[in-house]
Amino acid sequence: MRSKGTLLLVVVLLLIGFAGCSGCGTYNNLVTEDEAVEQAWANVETTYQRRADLIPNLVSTVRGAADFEQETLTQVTEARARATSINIDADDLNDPEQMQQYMAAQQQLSGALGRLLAVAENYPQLRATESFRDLQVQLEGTENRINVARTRYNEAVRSYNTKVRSFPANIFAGMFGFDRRTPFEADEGASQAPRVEF
Amino acid sequence: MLPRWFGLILWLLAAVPVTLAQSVQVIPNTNDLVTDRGDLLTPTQERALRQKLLAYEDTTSTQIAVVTLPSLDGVPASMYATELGQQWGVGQRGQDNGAVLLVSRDDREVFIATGYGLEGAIPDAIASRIVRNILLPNFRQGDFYGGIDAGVDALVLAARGEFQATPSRTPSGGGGGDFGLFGFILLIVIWYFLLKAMRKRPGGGPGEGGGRRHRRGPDLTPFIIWGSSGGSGGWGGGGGFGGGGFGGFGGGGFGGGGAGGSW
Repeated sequence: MRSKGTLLLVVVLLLIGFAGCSGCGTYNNLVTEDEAVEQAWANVETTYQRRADLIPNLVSTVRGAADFEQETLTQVTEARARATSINIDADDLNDPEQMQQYMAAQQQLSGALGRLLAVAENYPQLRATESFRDLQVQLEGTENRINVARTRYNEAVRSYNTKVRSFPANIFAGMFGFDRRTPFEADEGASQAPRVEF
Repeated sequence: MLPRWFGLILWLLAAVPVTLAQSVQVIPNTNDLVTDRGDLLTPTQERALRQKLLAYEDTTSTQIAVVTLPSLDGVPASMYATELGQQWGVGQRGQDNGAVLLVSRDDREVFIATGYGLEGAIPDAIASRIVRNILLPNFRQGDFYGGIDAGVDALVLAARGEFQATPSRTPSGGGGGDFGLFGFILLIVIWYFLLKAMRKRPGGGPGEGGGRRHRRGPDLTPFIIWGSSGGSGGWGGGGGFGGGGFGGFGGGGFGGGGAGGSW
């Protein structure tokens, strides 16, 4: 009788151990995925920052080289100021509204930059300068990086969201406060790097 | 039978989002520094180029992959080159010192993608100058080998000094999770007590004990598999025979750096 009791106890312990182990494993997986999302988001912000950092240089080059349309330049500077004033903490990645604001500001900057490059087409002497060409290339490269960072962020979010919502991880995710994260909505134009002709 | 069908359907449903998640489909890794799918080079030229790239990789560990394609199927050249570099893992892991020179024959486009580690040595402006001043003029005259060869030389010159010679690929140690080991030990301990408890009942109970002993065999296997699953497999890089062979791409990362153009 005593041994039967022991056996029962061991079986119960085994079950608890199983549940605990799978819980730990699931939790650790969620943490890993969560970190991946945050890392991917940091990369997105870095690439946008990189673009913002290029703009003062671009504006001064354009202003110095030609009697450029003031309005276009002002628009770019203003859009840049707005875009850099909005930052999203990793903790706010589950808030679609903030995400929307951030994206709107960045898209506005993309539009202003696109206009500036389009207007620059009318200034052959500006386009001929090496520094402007280099800036154009850098800008194009930055758009490429933004694209890549956004795609990877969305992939990380998709993987994370799938895990958070599927059984049995959703139980642990609810227990430990792992919320869904917001991916980027596809937007036409912004995903297209500005076309630069040489 | 029904559950099996059901499982298959579920599996298919699960597989669809995974394939969609892959942003760009690139050609599978050829494990070769020169991949001439666009058929722009003669075998002799390929060999010469391969030799040059291999010698460069041997001394600096920097990997430059030359890939030509018949067509990009509508994918922007920058995306394709970046994804190819990332998925193939051109460059060494941790150093990300790889570059991809992608040429698409029918699109008449070329792109030099630089890995994270080369972005400092070959900034986009430099890559763009190499494309504009070296690759495109040669390509316009139909001299693909001349353009690629001179372009590679320029890339090597630009990257020189940034990376010192490093020992070739170190196998990435299987960083086994602590939990895997911990769980494994825990299970062994539990298993030990379970066996001990069973052994305390000599002869086995009426039917009951025997049944449990039967179950023992199959039950043990999942535990072992489960416990060892925490340790990840190491890098299985095949060493080249005869010395000087290309050992494969090292797992470098790409973030969209580089520049391109069309001729």
